[in-house]
Amino acid sequence: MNLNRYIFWPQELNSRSLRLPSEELAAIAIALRGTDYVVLDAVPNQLIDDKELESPYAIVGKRKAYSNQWEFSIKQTCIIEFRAPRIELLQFFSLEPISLSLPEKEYDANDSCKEARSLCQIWDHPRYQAHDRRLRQSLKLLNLFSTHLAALYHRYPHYSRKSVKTYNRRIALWNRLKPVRNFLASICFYVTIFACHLATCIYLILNNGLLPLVNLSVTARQIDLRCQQICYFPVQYLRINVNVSIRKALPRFRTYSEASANLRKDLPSKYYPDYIRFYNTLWLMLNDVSFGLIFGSILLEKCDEIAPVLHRVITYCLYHCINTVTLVLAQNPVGIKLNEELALFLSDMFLWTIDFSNLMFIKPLADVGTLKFFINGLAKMSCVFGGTFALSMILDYFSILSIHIYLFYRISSKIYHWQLNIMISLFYLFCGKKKNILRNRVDNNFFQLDELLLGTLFFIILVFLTPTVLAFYFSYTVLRMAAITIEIILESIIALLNHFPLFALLLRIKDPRRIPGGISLKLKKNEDVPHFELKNKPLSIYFMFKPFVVLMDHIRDNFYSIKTLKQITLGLPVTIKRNRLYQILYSSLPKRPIDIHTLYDKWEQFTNTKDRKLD
Amino acid sequence: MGCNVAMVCDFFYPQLGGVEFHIFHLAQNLLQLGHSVVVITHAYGDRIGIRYLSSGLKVYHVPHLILHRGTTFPTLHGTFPIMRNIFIREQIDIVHSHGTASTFALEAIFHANTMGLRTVFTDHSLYGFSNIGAILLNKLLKFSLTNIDRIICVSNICKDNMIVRTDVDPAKISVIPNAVVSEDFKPLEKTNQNVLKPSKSITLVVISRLYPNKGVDLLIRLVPKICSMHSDVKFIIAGDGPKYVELQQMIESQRLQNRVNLMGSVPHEKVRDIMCQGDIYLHPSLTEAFGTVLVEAASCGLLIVSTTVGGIPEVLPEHMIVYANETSVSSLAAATNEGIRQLRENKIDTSSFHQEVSQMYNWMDVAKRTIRVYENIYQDATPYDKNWLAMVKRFYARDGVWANHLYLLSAIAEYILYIVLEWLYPRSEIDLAPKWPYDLYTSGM
Amino acid sequence: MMGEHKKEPWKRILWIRQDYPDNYTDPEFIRHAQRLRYKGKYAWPSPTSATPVVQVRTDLVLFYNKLLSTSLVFIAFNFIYHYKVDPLPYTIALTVFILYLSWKSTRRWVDLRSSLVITFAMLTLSPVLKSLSKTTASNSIWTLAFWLTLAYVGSMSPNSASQTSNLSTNLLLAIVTVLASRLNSSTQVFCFLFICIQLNLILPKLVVFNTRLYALVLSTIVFTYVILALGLSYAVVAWCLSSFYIFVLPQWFVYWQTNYRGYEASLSRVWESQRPILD
Repeated sequence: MNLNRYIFWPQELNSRSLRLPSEELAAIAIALRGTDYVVLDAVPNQLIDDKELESPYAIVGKRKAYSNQWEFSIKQTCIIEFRAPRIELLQFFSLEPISLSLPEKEYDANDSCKEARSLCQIWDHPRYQAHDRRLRQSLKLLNLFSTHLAALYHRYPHYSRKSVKTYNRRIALWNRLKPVRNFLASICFYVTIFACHLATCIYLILNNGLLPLVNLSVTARQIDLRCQQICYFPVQYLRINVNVSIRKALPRFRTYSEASANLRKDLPSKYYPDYIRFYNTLWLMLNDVSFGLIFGSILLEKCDEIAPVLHRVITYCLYHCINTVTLVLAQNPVGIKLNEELALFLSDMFLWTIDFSNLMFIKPLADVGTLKFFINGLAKMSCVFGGTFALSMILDYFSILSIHIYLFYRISSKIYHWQLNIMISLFYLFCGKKKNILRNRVDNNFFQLDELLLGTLFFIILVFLTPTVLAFYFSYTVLRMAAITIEIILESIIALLNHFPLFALLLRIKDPRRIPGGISLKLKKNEDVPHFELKNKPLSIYFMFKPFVVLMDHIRDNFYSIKTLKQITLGLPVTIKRNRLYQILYSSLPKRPIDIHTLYDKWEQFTNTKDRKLD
Repeated sequence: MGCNVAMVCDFFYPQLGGVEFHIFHLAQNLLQLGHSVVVITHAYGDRIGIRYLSSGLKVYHVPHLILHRGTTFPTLHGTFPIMRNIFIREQIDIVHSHGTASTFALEAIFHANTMGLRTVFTDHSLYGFSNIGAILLNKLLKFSLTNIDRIICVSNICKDNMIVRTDVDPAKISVIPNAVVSEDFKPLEKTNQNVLKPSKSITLVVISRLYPNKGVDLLIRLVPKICSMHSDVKFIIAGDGPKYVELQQMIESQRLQNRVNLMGSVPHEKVRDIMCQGDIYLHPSLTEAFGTVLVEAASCGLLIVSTTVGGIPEVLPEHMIVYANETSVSSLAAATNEGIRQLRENKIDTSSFHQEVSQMYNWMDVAKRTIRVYENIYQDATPYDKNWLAMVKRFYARDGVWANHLYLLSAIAEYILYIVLEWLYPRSEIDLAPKWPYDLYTSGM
Repeated sequence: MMGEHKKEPWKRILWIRQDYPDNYTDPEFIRHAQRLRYKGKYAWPSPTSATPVVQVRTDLVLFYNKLLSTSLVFIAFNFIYHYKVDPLPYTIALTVFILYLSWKSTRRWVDLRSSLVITFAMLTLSPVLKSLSKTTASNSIWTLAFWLTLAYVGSMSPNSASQTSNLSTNLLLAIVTVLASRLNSSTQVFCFLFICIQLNLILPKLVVFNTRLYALVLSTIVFTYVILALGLSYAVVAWCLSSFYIFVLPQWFVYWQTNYRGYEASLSRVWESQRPILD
C-alpha cells in the first residue's frame, strides 16, 4: 500500500514543460519522512541515469515528447498545484493564521478555565486527534522549496540549466571595509544600550511598588509604553537579523536524515511575526508624531479662541451643573417627597465638597490664563512626542478636574451599600431566618420579641430613608458614568493610535501571501487525475483587529453590561482598572522589559553566528 | 409494520428523574421491538437541535422559553409550526406525551389531533383539587385530553384520579406500571455483605428530593426519635432541595453527625451503591403515584418502610414492605421499629427480593403492553375520530359554559393556523428524515 | 373467555400480571364515583364531613380580637392627635398594668435587660421616626395608613404558632411610623409607639386564658369609643356587623360545608398530598 497519495506540483513547471515540447521529461520529486511527494523539477529524460537518484528523490511522473499529458507512476493520486513560495520575499504557507502577538500572551475574548478543561478532554479523545500531520509536514517542505531545489542541483549539477553562481565581487569590497564597519557598529551598539538603559530606569520609576504611577495617570502609562517599546526594539531587531542571516546561508542537505531533521525547524514563520511587530511599532510611532504635528499646530493657532470657550464649558459642566443638581435634590425633586433632614444633610455635605473642589482645582485649573498655558504646552508636547501624548495629557487633566464627581459617587455608593447590606440582613430576620456565616448558609431561627422589635424598627427606618439615599446615589452614578464614558472614548482613541495594525494591513494590500491565515484547496480540473490548487488565505481583517475587539468587549463588560447594572444596584464601586484593560494591547510586548544583560548576550550570540557564517 | 412514535415531554435527559427514565427506557425497548421513536423536548442550555442517544434514539431539543423547574412557557399555539414540521419530517403516526406538568406535552397533543395524528398520554403523578395551581392544571388537562385516543396511567390510583380529573371514558385508560432495570439494582454479593457488615448495626436509607411533599418534615422529627430508641441504627440521607438546611440544622442541634450521613444530591448511577449500604429503605412521602424508588430499593434487597399514600400499596407485595398507617411521626416510628425487629430476629429474608422484583417489573414488558395500547387505537378507530367538526363538537360538550366557549375559540384558532401553515410551509417542501438503521446498527456492532 | 368462570377476582395490585386487560376498570370505583357525582348535583347533607361550629367560631373570634386590637391603634392615635390628650400618664398606667399581668401569668418578672434595651432604643429613635415622613402631605399619610392597615389585617394569621414570617409585626410598625409623623413631639411619638406595641404585640401574648372575655372587653372599649366619637348610628351598624360575624357566619359556613361542597373535595383526600402529623 502506497501512502504517498498526493503529489505537490509547482505551477512554474507547467509553463516550463510547455517551453520544451520536444523533449521527454521526468518529474523529480522529493519525499522526506512523513511527507508527500513534492515535485522539484522536470528534467529531460536523457539526463537522468536511473541508478543515480537516491532515497529522498524519486521520479514520480513522465511525459512523452509532444504531449501535454503527464503519466504518474503512483496510481490513484491527486495533484495539488502550488506556487512555490519565494522565501526571500517572506512568502510562506501556514495551516494556522500567524499570530501578531507574543505566543505567551495569547488571549481569548471569553476564555474560562472550565471551557478549556472540557476542550482538553475532547482533544484527548482519539476521534478528535489531528489527522493533518502529514499535510503539516508537507507544507513545511513546500516552504523550503527553493532550498531543496538548490540542494538537488548541488548534488546533481548536470540537471541544472543555470550555472551555479560564483563568488560575488561585492562581498570582497565588503570585507575590506570591515574595521570601519565594526567601529560604526560598536558606536551604534553603545548608543542603543544607553537608550535602553534610560528607558529601563524610567520604566522602573513609573512602576515602583509603592506608588505605581502607571495606574494613576494615562500620561505615565503612555511614557511607560514607549519605554517598553524602546527596550524591546534591539531584541526584535536582533531576532529578525539572526534569522535573516541564517536564511541567507541556505543549508545544503547532504543526507536524507539531515534534511528530514531540518523539517522540524520551520524557518520563516518563527521570526516573521517579530518582523511585522517591529515595523508596525516603528510605523505607528512615525504616524503618531505626524498626527501630533497636525494637532499641535492647530492648537497653537487657535489657542486664544479655544481657551475662553473651554473655560466656560468646564465651569458650567463641572461646577454650576453639579451645584444645581445637588440643590434640587435637597428640595423634593420632581415632587418626590424625600426625607427632609437626611436630604438636607447630604446635600450640604456635597455642596461643601463642590465648593472645596472648585476652590482647589476647578478655579485655578480652568482659569483662562492657565488654560492657555496648558494648551501651549500641550501643542508643543504633541509636536515632539506625538498625538497620543497630547491626548493622554488631556485625559489626565480631565480626571483631575472631575475628581469631585468621583468622590461624590464613592461616598453615595458607600452609604447606599451599607444601607442595602443592613436591610438584607434585617430582611432575613423579617422572614424568620438568619445568615450563618460559619457554614455559609441561611438558617431558620426563632427570634425573641425584643430582637424582633428592634430589628423591625431599624428596618422600617431604613426603608423610609431608602428613597432619599437612592436619589442621591442615582444622580451621582449618572454623572460618574458620563465622566467614565468621556474617559473611555479618549482612551480608546489612544489605544487605537498606539496599537493599530497598520503594517499588517499594508502588507495585506501589498502582498497577501506574506501574511498567511491558512490555506485553501480548490478543484481545478477533474480528469483521470484530479488537480487541486493550493492557495494561501491571507490573514482576515477581523483577526488583525482581534485585540481591539477583545478590548471593546472588555470595556462593554466592565461598564455597559448587565453585570455593571447589578454592581450599581448592589452599590459596589465601578472603577476603571487600567492595567487589566491594557494587558490585551500590550500583547506584542514581553511582560517585563528586556534588561541589558540579556541584550548583551543576544548581541554576542548574533555576532558569533554571523562570524561563523562569513568564515 | 413498526409505527413512528414521537415521545413529547418537557422533562428529558440531561435532566434526571422518574419521567425522564421512563421515556428513555420505554423508547429504547420500543426501538428494540422494531418501532421508530423520536423524543421531542425543549432545549437544555446549549443542548439545542438534534441529538442522538444510544441505539439511535433521536432527540429534538426545541428552543423555547423555560418557566419553572424545567417546564416551558405555555403558549398554546406557539409551538405548532415547529411541532408540525417535526411530525411531518419524521412521518409520525402516534404522538405519545408524558406528564401533566409539561406544557410541551399537552400542546403536542392538541397539535397532533389537529393534524389528524393518533395521540396517547401517560400520566406519572397525582393531583388534588384543593389548590389553585392544581385546579388550573386540571382545566388545561381537561382541554388537552378532549380528543385523546388513549391514556396510560402508572398505577390504579393514578387512573382513578385521572377519571375524576378529566372525565375521560375509563375504557380508554390503561394501567401500565413503571419498571426498573433490575441489572442496575443488584444487591451486593453474599460474601461481600458479610465482610462489610460484621456487626448487626442497621442502616436506614432515604433517597429523595427534599421537598415538603416528600415528607421531609416527618423525617426531621423521625430521625432523632429513632436514634434515641436504638443505639446502633444509622441513617443515610441522599438528595437535595429546599428542606436540606432544616435537616442539617436538626443533625447539628441533636448532635447526630456520627449517625446521620447527609450526602446532598447524588448522581443516579450512584443510587444503587448507596442503597446497598443500607438494610431498610425509609419512605416518608406524603404523595406518590407509583414510587419507582421503592421498587429499586427492593431490588437491591432492602426492606421497605413506607407510608400508605397514593399508589404505594399497589406496588410491592406485603412481605417486602412495612406500612405506617398514617402520615404521622409516631406511626412511622412504630413501622420502623417493626422493620428493625424483623431484621434483627431474622424473620425476613431479603436476599430473594431481587429475583422476585426482576420478575415483577421489566421494561420490555412495559413496552409490549404499550404497543398493545397503540394497536388498540387502530382497532377501535372510526373515521370521525380526528374529524375537525367532530372534535369541535367534543370540545363544546366538554365543560362549563365559560370553559367550553374558550375551548372552541382556541380550537378554531388552531385550525386556522393549520391552514395558514399548510399554505406558508407546504408539506411537499419539508424533507423527510431518514430512519436510523437500527437492525444494521445492532448486527454491525 | 366468557365461559370461564374460574377467573380470579381483580385485585388492586400491580406486581402480578392479572388476567384482565390493561384498561380494566374497578367497577366498584365507577359506582363510587357515580354516587359522588350524583350527590354533588343533588345535595345530601353529610354532617360527618363538616367542622364543628365551636371550632370555627373560636377561629373567627381570634381574628376578631386582632381586628379590634388594630382599631385600638387608631383610637390611641386619635386621642393624641385630635383630642390633644397627653399620653404620658396613660402609657405609664398601661405599662404598669402589663407588667402586673405578665407577673401574674408567668409568675416572674419579665426579662428586665431586654425590655430596658428596647425601651431606650425606642426613646432614641422616636425623633427619627417622627421625621421620617414629615414632608409628605397628610392626605397621603392617611391613604398610606389605610392600605398598610389592610395589608396588616390580611397578613395576620389566626394561629400564632403557625406564623413563620414577621411580616405583620413589620406592617404594624410601618403603620405606627407613618402615623407618628403627624404627631407634635417626640414624647408623643414614643408614647404612641409604646402603647401600640403593648396593645398589639404583648397583651395578646399574655391574655391567652380566655379569648371570649378578651373579645368582650375589647369590643366594649371600641364600641364606647365609636358611640362617643361617631354617634350611635355608626355604633349600631358596627355592632350588627360584628354580631353577624360572630354568631351567624360560623353557622352558615358549617351549613354550606355539610350541604354544598363538591364531591371532588371529599374524594380527593386520597390523592391530595397528605398533611404530615408532627406529634
